[in-house]
Amino acid sequence: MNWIDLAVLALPLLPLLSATFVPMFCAGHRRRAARWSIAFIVITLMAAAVLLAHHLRQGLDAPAVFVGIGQMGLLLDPLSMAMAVLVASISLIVHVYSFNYMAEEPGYVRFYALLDLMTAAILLMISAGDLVTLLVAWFAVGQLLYFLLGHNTERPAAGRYAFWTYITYRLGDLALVGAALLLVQGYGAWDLPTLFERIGANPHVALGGVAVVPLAALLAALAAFARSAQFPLHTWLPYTMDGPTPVSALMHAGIVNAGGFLFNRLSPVFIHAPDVLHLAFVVGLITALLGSALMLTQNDIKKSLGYSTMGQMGFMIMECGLGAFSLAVYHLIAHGLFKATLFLSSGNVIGDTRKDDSVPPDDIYTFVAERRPTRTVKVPWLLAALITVLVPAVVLGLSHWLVAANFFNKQGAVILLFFGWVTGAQVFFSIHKLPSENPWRSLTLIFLSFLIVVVGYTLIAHGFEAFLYPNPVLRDAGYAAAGINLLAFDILVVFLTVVLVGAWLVTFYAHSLNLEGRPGSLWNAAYLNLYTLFSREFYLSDVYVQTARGAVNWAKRINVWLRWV
Amino acid sequence: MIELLIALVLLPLFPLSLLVNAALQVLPVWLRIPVLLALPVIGAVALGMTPAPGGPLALGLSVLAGFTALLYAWRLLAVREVFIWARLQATSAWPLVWMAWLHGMSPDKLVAVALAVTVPAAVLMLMACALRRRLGAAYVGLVGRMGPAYPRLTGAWVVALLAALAAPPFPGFFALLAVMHQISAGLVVVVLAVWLLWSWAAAVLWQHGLFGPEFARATGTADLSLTGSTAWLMLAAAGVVFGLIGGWAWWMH
Repeated sequence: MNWIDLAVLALPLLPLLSATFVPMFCAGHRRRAARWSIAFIVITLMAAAVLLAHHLRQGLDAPAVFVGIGQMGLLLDPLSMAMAVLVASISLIVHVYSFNYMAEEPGYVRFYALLDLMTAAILLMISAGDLVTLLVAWFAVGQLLYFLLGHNTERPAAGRYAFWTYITYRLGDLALVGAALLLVQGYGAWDLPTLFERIGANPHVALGGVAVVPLAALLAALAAFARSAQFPLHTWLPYTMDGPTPVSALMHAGIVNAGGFLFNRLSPVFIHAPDVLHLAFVVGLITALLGSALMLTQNDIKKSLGYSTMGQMGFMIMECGLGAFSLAVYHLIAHGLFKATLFLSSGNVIGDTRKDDSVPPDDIYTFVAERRPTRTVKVPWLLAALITVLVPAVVLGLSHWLVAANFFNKQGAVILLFFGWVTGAQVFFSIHKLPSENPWRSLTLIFLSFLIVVVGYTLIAHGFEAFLYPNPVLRDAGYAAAGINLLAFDILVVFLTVVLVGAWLVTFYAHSLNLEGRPGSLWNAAYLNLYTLFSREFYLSDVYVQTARGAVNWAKRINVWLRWV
Repeated sequence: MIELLIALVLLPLFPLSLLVNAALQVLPVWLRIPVLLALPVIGAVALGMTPAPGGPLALGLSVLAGFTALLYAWRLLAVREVFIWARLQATSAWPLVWMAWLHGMSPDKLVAVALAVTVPAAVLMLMACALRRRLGAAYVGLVGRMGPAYPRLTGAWVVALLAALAAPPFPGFFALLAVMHQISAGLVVVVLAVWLLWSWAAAVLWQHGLFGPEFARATGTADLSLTGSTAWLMLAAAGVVFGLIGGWAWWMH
C-alpha cells in the first residue's frame, strides 16, 4: 500500500475518526471538541489537495486508481479529486463558521460529530469505487441530513421539514438500489471500473426482455432528481431553512448537488441511454423555470433562497441532459461556493443589522445629506442591446476557433451557450433598468459580468471538461447521446427563445402594461388565480401532505380493526 | 411438508401472523424477546430443510409474503407504542425470508437474513422496557421530547431504530440487498416499498420522540448509566461490524 492509497483511504476515515473521537474524549469540553474537529477537517482538506496536486503533476491522462480489496474499494479519478477538494473546503468553512455561530446552542459537541459524520459520508460517496459503497454512502448522507436539519429539537417544525427531506431522499435512495441491482444482475460486477468496461463492451444486455442500461439509467436519474430537488420532488428544499444556518450552507452548497455528481459518476451508463438524458433535460428545464418563477413570487426570503437553489439545480440537471456532464460539475462547484457564502453571510447580516440599522445617527445627515436628490442616468439601451447581440456572436466565433472546429455541431454546447446568453442578457437588462450616477462604470461592470457568464459557459467549461474527461471518446459520446434531430433541435431553440424573451418582456413591463387588469374583470380573476397558484407553490405540498395523512389514517383504522395484532 | 408447516407458524404470513402477534402481546415482557428471536431462526432453519416449491404454490406464497410485508409495514405508520412497533416491524420483515427461500437462497443465508432483520426488533423491545420503566409506558410523544431528560437512552433508541429500518451499515441493510439480489423484479418492487414504509414509520417515531416541548425527568428515574451506554454502544458496534463482515462476505460471492 503506497502513500496515495493511504491518502485516498484517509479522505473518509479522518472525519469518521473525528466523529468517534470528539464525543468520546471531549464531551465536556465544547470548544476543545470543535478545535479537534476542525483540525481533522484541515488534515482531510490537505490530503485532498495533495492528491489533486499529484494528479495535475502527473498529467491529465493519468489513469484512475482503484484502492480496495476484490470488488470493494475507493476510486481516485479527476471527478473524485475535484469533488473531494470542494467538499473538504466547504466542510472546513462550515466547521470554522459554526465555532462561534453555534456556541450558544445546545448539543454543540453532537453537532460537530454529526458534521464530521456527514463530511465522511459525502467523501465516501464521491470516492466510492463500487456500487455497494456508493449505496451505503448515498443512504448515509440522507440519514445524517435528517439529524442535522432537526438539530434544534425545540422546534417541531424543524423535525417536520427534516422529515420531508428524509422521505424524499429515501425515495431516491430506493431508486438507486434498483439501478444498482439491475446493473449487477445484468453485468455481474459491483466495482465501477469493471462495470463500466463491460457496459462499454456490450451496452445492450437485457434481462427478461428489458434492456438493462436504459432502465438502470432511468432509476439512477430518479435518484438524482430526488437528491437535487427536481420537479415534482422539490417540495422539501424551500422548507429546510428551519435547520441551523451552517447546515443550510452545507446542504445548499454540497449535498443538494449530489444529483449532478451521480450523473457524472455514472456517465458511462447514461451515454447509452439517450432517452433518459432527454428526460433529464426536460425535467431540469421545468425545474429551472419553476424554481425561478417561484423564487420571484415568494414573500419569505428564506423560501425564496430555497427556490433559487432549486432553479440552479434545474440548470445543473439540464446540463447533464445535454451531455455536458463536466459542465454540471463546474456549475455545482461554482454554485456551491457562492451559495455557501450567501448563507453564511446571511447570519452575519442578521447580526450586523441587530447591532446597526445603517441609519446614521446624526440629524444633519438624515435631514440634509440623505434626502439630497441624486442625478441619475440610465445606460443607453441601444448600446446594451448591441452588446447582447455582439458578445455571443464573438464568443461563438472564438469557440469555433479556439475550442473545437465542430463546435456548431455540438447541440448541447449550442444550447448551453444559448442559456449563457439568456442569463447574461437578463442580468444586463435588469441592471440597465437601474438608474445610476455613473452609467459608464455600470456599463463596464455589467459588460464584464456578461462576458464572464458567456465565456464561462464555453471556454472555462471546455478546460474543465478536458480535466474531468481526458478521454475524448467518452466526452463526445455524452453530446452525441444527448443529441436530437436537427428539426426538433431548431424548433426547441425557437420555442425556448420565444418563451424566455416573452417572459422577460412580461416581467419588465408588467407594471406599465397593467397586466393585472381591472378589478372584477375575468382577466383579473385569472391573473389572481395564477398568482395564487404560484404563491401556493402549485399546491404540491398540500397534495403530498393530504395523501400522507390519508395513508396514516387508513393505517390507524386497519390497526383498530385488527386489534393491533 | 412438516417443516413447511412449522415455518408457516414460526415465520408467520397473514393471517397466521395475527395469531403470533396476539401471542407475543400477551406473553410476559421478559419472554417476548427470546420468543421474538427464536421464532424466525427456527422458522428459517425449517424452511432451509424444505425444497422450494414451484408453480402455483410458489406464486401463491410469493403473493402472500408480499402482501404480509406490505400490510404490516403500512400499519407501522400509525403506531407509536414501541412494543407494538417492534413486533409489527418484525412481522413485516419475516416474509422477506420466505421470498428469499422461494428464489433459492441457501439455508445458512436464510438464517442470517432472519437474524439480521429480527435482532433490531428485539433490541427495540429492550428499549421499550427501558422507556416503560421511566415514562410509565413505551408510548412515544406523550410527554414531549425525550432528549433533554434521558440523552443516553434517546441516543440508544435512535440507533436501535436505525438498525430496525435497515439503514447502513447495520446488518439489515446488507440482508435486504442480499434478498433483493436473489428475488424476482416484481418482488424487488415490493421490498423497496416495504423499506420506504419502514423509513417513514421510523421517522414518524423520531418526530414524536425527538421534537416537542421539554419535560422534567420523572422523580426516581435516571438516564441510562455509563455502563449501560457502553454496553449499548458495544452492541451497536458489533452490529455494524457483523453487518460489514456479512455484507462483504456476501458480495464477494
